[in-house]
Amino acid sequence: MLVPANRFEVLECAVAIDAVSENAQDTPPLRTGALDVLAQHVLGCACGKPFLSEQLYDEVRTAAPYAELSRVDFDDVVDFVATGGYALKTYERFARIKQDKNGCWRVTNPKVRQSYRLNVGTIVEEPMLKVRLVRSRAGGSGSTGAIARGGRLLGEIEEYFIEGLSAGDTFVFGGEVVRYEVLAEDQVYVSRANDSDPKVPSYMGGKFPLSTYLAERVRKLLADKRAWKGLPDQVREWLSLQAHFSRVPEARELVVETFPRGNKHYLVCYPFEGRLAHQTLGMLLTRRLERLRARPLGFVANEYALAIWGLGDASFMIRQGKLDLNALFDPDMLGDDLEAWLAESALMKRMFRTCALISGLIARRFTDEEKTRRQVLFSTDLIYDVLHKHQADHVLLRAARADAAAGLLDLRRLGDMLTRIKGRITHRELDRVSPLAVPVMLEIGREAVYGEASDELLAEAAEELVREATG
Amino acid sequence: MSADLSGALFWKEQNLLVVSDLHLEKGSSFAARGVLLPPYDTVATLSRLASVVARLDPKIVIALGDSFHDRSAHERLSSPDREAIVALQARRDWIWISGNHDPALPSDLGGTVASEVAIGEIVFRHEPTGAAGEIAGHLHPKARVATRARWLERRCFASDGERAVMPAFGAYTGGLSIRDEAFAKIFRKPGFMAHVLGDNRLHTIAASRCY
Repeated sequence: MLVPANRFEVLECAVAIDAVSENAQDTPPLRTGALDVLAQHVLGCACGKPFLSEQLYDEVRTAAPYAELSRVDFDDVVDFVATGGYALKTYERFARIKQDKNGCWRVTNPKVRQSYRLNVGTIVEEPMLKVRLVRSRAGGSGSTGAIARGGRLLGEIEEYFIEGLSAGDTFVFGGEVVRYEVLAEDQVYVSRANDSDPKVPSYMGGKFPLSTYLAERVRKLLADKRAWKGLPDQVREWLSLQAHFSRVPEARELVVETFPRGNKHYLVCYPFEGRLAHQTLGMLLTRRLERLRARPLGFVANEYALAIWGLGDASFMIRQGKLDLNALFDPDMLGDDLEAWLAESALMKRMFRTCALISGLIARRFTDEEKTRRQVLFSTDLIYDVLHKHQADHVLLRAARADAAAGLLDLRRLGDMLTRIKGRITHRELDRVSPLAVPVMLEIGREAVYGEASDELLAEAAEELVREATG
Repeated sequence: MSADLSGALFWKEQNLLVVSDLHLEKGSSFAARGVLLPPYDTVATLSRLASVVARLDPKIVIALGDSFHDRSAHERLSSPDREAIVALQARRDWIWISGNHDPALPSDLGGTVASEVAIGEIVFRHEPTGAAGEIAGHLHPKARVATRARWLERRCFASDGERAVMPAFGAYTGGLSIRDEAFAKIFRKPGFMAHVLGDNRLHTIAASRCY
């Protein structure tokens, strides 16, 4: 059974049914084995019984994802497990595994085994916050006044969801409607509320890219007006509204819309290349927009579209000739821009955090002292900065880059798309969000841009607070 | 006295630079406990400090405690890092204030070791007591600010004009939220400010509006 949750999903369901009747396959390509996972495996093997490098290397390569693993990469991983794999050889005496006189790698002390057992596994959780129930504070404005400590623990929620809330917003949690009162460190304080329209928490785990190839079929369906006849009335109406207010993308063209909403300016485009390629495009476009002083703040991608928002008025910039869409979407973004972006991106930091946890560089659970996940997140960012600056080819940075390139960037599809749409960009300047843009604007999984806009945002927050205090 | 974007404090009239919580050799300290953090934190911290010193050329430098992550950290300094410290100390007075991580600093590090330093009305010590005129470190203040686009979390100075807590300068030093009770105890009244380290400038935001 297929249950579309919005109009766009009706299109997706329609083409999925067609694809099934044609026996078309939607199988993702096999991934290359990740080096962080290998590191955990190598340590795990050593915790079991001592191993010889040659034998383990041969054994690992019998697994299909590691069939092409080079000996150099394998040895780097073993070196990483032993002493961290640093160019500066200062940690020999802290080695976790050591070679005995027969060349067998052995665990150096039982604590290594204990720590391995506490941390084994390759699923890394999103940063979470604890939700505590307190009594409502009249007229609570989010962060003023003393925080009432304590309160009954209701459970944990992804930080990502709370970040999108303002004080006073209500959401459903643990079967109750609660009001978001205030946040302190890793605790979210909420009170009971009585709201008929609370928000429903969304989870990052829910945004797994489900389909890779349906998007192209959806694009063809949109471009073929005769095929709309088979669609439900609401969906046809929606597409007609889009054709009236903006434009329905044709098979080979890229439609770009710009419009203001709230106190931000949006740029939405419809490449139909899947979420991963769109995310990469989002990263690269925001970088270029930043350089053009359009002050982008973030972006969100779904299977069909990409929405970027910022402080600069893109419509105005295009009118003034300060923003050229053909130059903005030029395929040369996949060169230096890509490399430079990756080096400093929040996404790479997040990938690095995952690699650091899976590979065992950082423990998730400690034998002696407990560290909160929030502290772990903060410290992996610091470690990333230092490591990137002092040993950019470190095996964990290579692992993070490979994960990003294979899992999150989808460079091949993005490259094909940029070549396809060259000279076929249609821009529509709108005074409000278009019908086609609505689904992507409601999407979860927003990416923030970490650039010069940070200072501007802080300055703005500071000024706003001063105004509040004096006004 | 002015807060520097690097996280240092500069007192122009006295030609005095203060940095707090360098936590040198924190990486190797973790390594000894089995967490093999990259061994580059000391060189990263010292090179940032060197650029601040080169820019402001102070006559006196105060390292406000927890300069070393543990009691034996100074023994693990690499020769180049040791030389970098000597170079920083040349032609200026250098004062190591002792902190809880480095209560007993040896004399072969150069400079003077002290538990606190008073200049006029101002007292420099590691752990804040809340006394007026006190400049301290220890707590590693950071502020999370909700802006209209996203949360931004940065290191910050905490001050009410009478006393101040400095941000940690070390490459691997995390932070404690300025909303933690530890700060309320020092400033007592709620009206203290966070001077947040932005990318290119400082931002002054009431602590009560940070997370």
